[in-house]
Amino acid sequence: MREAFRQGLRDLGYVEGRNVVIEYRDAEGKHERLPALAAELVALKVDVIVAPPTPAALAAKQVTKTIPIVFAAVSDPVSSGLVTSLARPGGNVTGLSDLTPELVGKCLEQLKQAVPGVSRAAVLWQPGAFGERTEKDLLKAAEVAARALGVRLQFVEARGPDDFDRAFSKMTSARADALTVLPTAMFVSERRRLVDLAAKNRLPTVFPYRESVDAGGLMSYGPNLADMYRRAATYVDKILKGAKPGDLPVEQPTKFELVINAKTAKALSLTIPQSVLLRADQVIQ
Amino acid sequence: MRVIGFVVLAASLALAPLAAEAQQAAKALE
Repeated sequence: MREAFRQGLRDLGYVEGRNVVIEYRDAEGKHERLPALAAELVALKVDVIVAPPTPAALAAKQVTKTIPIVFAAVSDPVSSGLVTSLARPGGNVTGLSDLTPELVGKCLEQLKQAVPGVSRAAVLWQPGAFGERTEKDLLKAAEVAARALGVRLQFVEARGPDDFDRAFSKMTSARADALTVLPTAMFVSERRRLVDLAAKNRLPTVFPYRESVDAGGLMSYGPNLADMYRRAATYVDKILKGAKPGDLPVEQPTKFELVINAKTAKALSLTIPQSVLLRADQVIQ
Repeated sequence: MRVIGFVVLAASLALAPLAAEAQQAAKALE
């Protein structure tokens, strides 16, 4: 991902060591190190801080109100407290969100194309995972997309991993024939259990992150994160040329990637149409 | 010469698990 950002800079004419220097700081997975690392960058008087995920951006925001900060993979920048609005972030922070309300609909569309017989899809969601408005937008967009696809939706809640068994029982008793999982953190960290439960209940499932497909899920459709890191360089460029971060709207993903696990398809006795396989960015054999 | 600071939670990890950690951290900071 760091390389994608550097490539983005190169595309804009920056040459490391000639007209730009990048000071890297890596918390090595330890959240508590982030504030000190962000403070180091402030002490170095860098021109801009790139802090891709939420905790890094929050840590940077806490140590400077003046140095511009660019994030690259924040799900809900408004409810995280990074910006006041997507259109006009205000303050010294802006960047790219990895979430868009259309994502759920796009996932359903991919699922329907991969498994055309789907007519009742369960939507696994976690109440409270996002800000209220974001959550409402996500669920509404799912309904709209499902209607257009002729798929009936069943919304099933899981507040934590302890709710998974009950959630899958609800899906099977309502005769759901597929599942889409919303892009929340808990579902990512619990992907192995979700993948196992989907297999056990023979539910073709579309996930929003490819890691779930690497773990054995049937398919994923989600933002191309390398592209977002590349685009973060565009923000840096504009800021270095004088733009104020607070005036630069938060952008959402524009490129998405489709990953399919052929082994899982076979285990579910599914034949994924050739047209879908050809379109996939990766097919795991 | 312009200087860009780049701070990550974990360069060696895939991003999705990071997103998970990110949200936990965001909640902890609230």
